[in-house]
Amino acid sequence: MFLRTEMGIERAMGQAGGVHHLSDGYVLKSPFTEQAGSLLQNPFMFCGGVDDDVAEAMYSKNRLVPTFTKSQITPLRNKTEPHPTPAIFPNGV
Amino acid sequence: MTLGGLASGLSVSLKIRNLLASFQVHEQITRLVCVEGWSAIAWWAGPRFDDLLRAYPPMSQAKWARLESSVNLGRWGNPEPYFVSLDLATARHPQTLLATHLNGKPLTLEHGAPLRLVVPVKLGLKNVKAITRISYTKDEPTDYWAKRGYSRYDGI
Repeated sequence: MFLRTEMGIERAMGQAGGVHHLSDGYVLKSPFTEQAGSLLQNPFMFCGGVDDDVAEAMYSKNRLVPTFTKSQITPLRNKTEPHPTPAIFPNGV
Repeated sequence: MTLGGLASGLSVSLKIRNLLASFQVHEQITRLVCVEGWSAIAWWAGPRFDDLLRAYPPMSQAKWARLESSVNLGRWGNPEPYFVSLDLATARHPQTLLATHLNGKPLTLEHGAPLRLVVPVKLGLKNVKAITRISYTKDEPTDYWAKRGYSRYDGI
């Protein structure tokens, strides 16, 4: 189990440092260090294949994520690709 | 937004204003966690996905939802439809919203107007913006990032 998880992390780090960063325009940052931190916090987050199955088996529909107060709101970053314009909704929403 | 894969066998088209008029709006302040290692705490509001599922039930064999934004743009401004898979158990989770508002205001286009998925038990990449279609399926549908080698589960 440990070895499988460790291998999953190594593979996932390579993936995340490639396509997603390139696509999201964050290539000028240092993705490796940030991802290493988050991976260590939760190795199941990035592990495909067998580890997806483990994560699914551990899923609890009754689990709630923490909620916060309005004073704890932080700026929400965004991807840098162009965004749709209002013209995409010619008939309104 | 259109709905497919319904028990009725019909395809349903919904306007956001009808959605807001038909369903209770829930508010929650939760953390959005990006695969790139950053996160943010945001105040979301909108109907629960579960309420939509109750009002427009999926076909009986359905276990998955495919959420698609056909208006998504790629890096160079080219059309690049974005799509995610979501298991129905997660769609029914009480903290899974079809958000119309962010921080007390209607969503901007940058943040997924007019309707986006907020699923805080999943990474940000599952939180598809500007949803144009939701389809229910028996088998796991394709997922934009899973096709590119990422985890298909993306849980937190």
